[in-house]
Amino acid sequence: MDDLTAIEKCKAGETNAFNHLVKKYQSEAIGHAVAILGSREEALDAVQQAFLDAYRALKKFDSTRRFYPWLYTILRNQCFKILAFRKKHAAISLNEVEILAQPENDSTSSEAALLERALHELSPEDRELLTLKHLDGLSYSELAERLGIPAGTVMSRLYYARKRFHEKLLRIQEQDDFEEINNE
Amino acid sequence: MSKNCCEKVRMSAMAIRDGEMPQLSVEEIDKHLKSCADCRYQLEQQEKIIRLLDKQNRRSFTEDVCSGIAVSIEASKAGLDTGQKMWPFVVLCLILLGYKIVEVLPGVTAGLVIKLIPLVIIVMFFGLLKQNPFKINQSLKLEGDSR
Repeated sequence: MDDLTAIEKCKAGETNAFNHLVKKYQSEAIGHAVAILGSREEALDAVQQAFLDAYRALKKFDSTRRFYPWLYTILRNQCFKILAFRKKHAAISLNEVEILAQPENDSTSSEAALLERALHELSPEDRELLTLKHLDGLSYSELAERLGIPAGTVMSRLYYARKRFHEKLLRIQEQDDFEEINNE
Repeated sequence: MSKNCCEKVRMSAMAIRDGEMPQLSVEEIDKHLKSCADCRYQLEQQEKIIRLLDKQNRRSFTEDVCSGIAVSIEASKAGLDTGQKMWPFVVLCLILLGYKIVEVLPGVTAGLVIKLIPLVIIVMFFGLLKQNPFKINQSLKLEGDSR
């Protein structure tokens, strides 16, 4: 069943058809929510709420659009709502979860761990942008659609996000080198 | 060289690297890069970052949120149905209100039979609706409760 058929069936009252969409996109959605929130539990809550909101808003869905980018905007709003709540309640403790897949090769695993740390030190907005660009390979126009900003803004935001990511990486490396020297 | 000019060149060079349309032409970028060592260095650093990130994959998650969503959808549908079935209860309220007005009218003495009328109305009402007012809806869940 393709997405449009599933959506039409949902609109006609077949709730089970929505299950097809959930099954198809849940893993991708969790990965994206984790990239913004950095926490597994919050990501699962956000994904569940986003799917529910999408179901309630299906009547407004424009059939000329693809389903996932539309769901992504709902998910994104949900994630930023959670972040705003987290900001207000600073005492919430989080279990950070990996965004990147673990490489099989040992030599690249330390590199991945370093990148993971730097990613977690970035702001959620930068982390979202960099992961969408580099892990999902989205183009500037696709990024613009997902983030609701002009393509020109994507270019500058991406430039500054990479710059900040580079700075974080350097800082972490320096810190590790310093700790190594201290331990010797 | 102004900072704005340098950043414009770097962003354009990055756009080309990403396979996108740059703000500046390739000739303009090359011309600037020949004379700006700082931009060349910054672009080399960005190139390293891009290569590192492009090698990575997103972690895949196997968690299943289907059941939680299905329960929430059912609960929300039940809520919607309740909203649509509100009118019989409005009618019941009006009947009981009418009864109360008649009961408090001067000169009406409420005997046991009259006092039992509301109870009879309510039982008949739920009988007609084929609803059990004491049934607990176990499919309802609190929002955000993923258990």
